[in-house]
Amino acid sequence: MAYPAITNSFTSGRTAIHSQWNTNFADLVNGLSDGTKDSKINNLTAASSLAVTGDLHTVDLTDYSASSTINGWASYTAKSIYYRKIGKTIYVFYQLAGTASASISIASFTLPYKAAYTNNFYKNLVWNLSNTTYSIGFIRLYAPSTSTSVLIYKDLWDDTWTLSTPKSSCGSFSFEVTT
Amino acid sequence: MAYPSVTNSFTDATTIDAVQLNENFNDIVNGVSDGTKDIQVANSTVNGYADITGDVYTTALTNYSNTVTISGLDTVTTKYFYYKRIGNIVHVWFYVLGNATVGDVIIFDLPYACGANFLNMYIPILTGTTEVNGCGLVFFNAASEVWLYYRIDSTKFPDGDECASGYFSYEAA
Repeated sequence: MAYPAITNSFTSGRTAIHSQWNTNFADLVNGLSDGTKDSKINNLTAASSLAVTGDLHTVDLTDYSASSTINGWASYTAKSIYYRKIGKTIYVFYQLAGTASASISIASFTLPYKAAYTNNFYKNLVWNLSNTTYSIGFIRLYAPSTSTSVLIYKDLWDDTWTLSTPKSSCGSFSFEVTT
Repeated sequence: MAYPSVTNSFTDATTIDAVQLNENFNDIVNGVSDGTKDIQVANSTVNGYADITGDVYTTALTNYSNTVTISGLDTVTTKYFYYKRIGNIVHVWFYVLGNATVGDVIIFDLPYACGANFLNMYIPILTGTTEVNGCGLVFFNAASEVWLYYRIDSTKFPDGDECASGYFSYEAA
């Protein structure tokens, strides 16, 4: 798709063809209202609504699993860490499953952004399996500048996971970033 | 930053310089395509995608820790309350630690009244006494306030120290 453009260019010293002016004005009006043209602007203020038929993103859905530093797993049967950035809000969807590390008892992964909150208070509930025990745990973000790491608590009390056994965690959460 | 504008103004009954006319047309074209100008409209409909480099918000991330009204605690030791509104969706992130002589629900006000379809809804959160270590609930008790329960069976907080932390989003009225 293209940006709005005008059809006619005018030359000095020649009689103006007013229909060409009309065409140019219509080009602009249509280009801003008929839904066929792109627009690239600095800020958009919509006094009322903003309706987006397609996607809305700053960073489209991205699989970050290959870039993330993941701790606590020796092998994977499922490994996905997706995020989407809309403005300064990050939406994360993750699933990590496989066999726990033989030496690292925590579970954590990194994201490409740091949280914007001034304190390390943010937590959100997630689903876990450690060995044969299912549990509701939570993720904890360290903000704002200490780390991009997300720590996964095995349950609501403990961030220590059983070594060398089946280990799974999945959940979704969102948070605000600094940039 | 400024809105798109045209360079030249024309006067009735005078010859128009075509160069200036072209410049005006290009001013407008560039104003909506070179990424340097603002636009303010009533409604905007995007048929394709919207790729936003900066933030998207109706109300940007706001720390309302100092203005939130909390009840159900005799003393509040620590509180962090943030919200962000995108259209009618309100995101809330919070942490509160305090003490009540007689345990009860903790109540705080929402930054925006919620829609009627959210009333009586429960959302799980983290709760505890001196720190979060269990699963409690956010309960949308009224359009402008939520109740925090200690446990997911709607058990109220015990006497003494009380703590809750979580994230939820809802649709504003």
